[in-house]
Amino acid sequence: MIDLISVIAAADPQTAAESAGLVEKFGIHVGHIVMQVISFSILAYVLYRFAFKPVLATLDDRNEQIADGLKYAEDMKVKLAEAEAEHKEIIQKASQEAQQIVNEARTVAEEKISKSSQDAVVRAEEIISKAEQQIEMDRKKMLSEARSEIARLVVSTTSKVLSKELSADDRNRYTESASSQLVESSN
Amino acid sequence: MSSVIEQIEQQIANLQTKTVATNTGKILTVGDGVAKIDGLSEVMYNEMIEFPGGTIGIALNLEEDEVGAVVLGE
Amino acid sequence: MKQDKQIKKFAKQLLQVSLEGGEVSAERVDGVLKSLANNPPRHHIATLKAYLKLVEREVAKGTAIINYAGELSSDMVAGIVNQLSAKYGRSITSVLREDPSLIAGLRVVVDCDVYDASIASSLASLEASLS
Repeated sequence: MIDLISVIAAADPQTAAESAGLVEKFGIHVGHIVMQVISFSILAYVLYRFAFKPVLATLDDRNEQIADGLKYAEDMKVKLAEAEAEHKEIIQKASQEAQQIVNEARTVAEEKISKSSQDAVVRAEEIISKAEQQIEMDRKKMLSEARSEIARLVVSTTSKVLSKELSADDRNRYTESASSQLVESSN
Repeated sequence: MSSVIEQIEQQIANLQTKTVATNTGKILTVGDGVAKIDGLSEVMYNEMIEFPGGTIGIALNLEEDEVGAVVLGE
Repeated sequence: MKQDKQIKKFAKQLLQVSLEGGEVSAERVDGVLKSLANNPPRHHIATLKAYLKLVEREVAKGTAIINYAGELSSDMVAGIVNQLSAKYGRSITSVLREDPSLIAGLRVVVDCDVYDASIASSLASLEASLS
């Protein structure tokens, strides 16, 4: 390295002299600057190779990880959204089914109620009809009994009256007509 | 009630004094729902017979000197 | 059982003998009874009973019991007897009985046949038809 510097110094004596004059004015020593540049380059190179690169690699890794992580998160989000959607759908379906069951149950209950009340009505009508029939039967029976009683009364009265009040003439006339028709008018 | 009276009046109006001919017999024995009757010269097999009191019987056994009848009722 | 049949058969034969002109003759019945007394058959009493029943029946067939209410003239009786004789094809004798319960009219009984032409029976049939 130093050789390089010597060479460079030797290469351009003019520039060296000019610059030596400029430099002397400003207090800049070319040799020093060159040395510094070289040192800096070495440092930079070393740093780059042994520090920056791994660090950069690490940074890259990190970035990659972060990117993966973000991607993962994105995927999860999507999955979550899907799951939520599915979940919603299931709940909706269940809710519909539940509603349907409730409706059916309600319908069945209503039918049952209306049937019971219909049955009750039918039974009530039956009872009424039976009662009416019974009343009618009793009425007929009563009328029939009344008729018998009246008939008995009429006949009894007639017998008594006729026995007492029938004149001998009428009696004999009746007997006579009866005797003449005795056998003919009989079947 | 009035219909009952009407019925009776109707029957009285329809009453005819005519001879009623019946074939009769004398009950010899009654027991176990069977009556043995002397007479009933005109009765036919399975013919209905009326007993005093309104009970009905059926002539089922026609013999020369008696008729056996089943009594329907008391 | 067999005895009964035999007795009945015998009694029937006796009845046949007692008939004259298809009707029971008192003389002949007398004759039958006498011969039975002289020659009693094996079941004397049973035979007599059966014979009696048959004779009664025969007599009843030729007898009209006339129940009447009020007055019954002999003409009327004769008329009745004629009608009955014509109907039964044999001579009929009449027996008269007054029966006020008939109210008016007659009831004539010939054996099993009853001819009722009385007010009482009309009223009874009225009552029956209404009950």
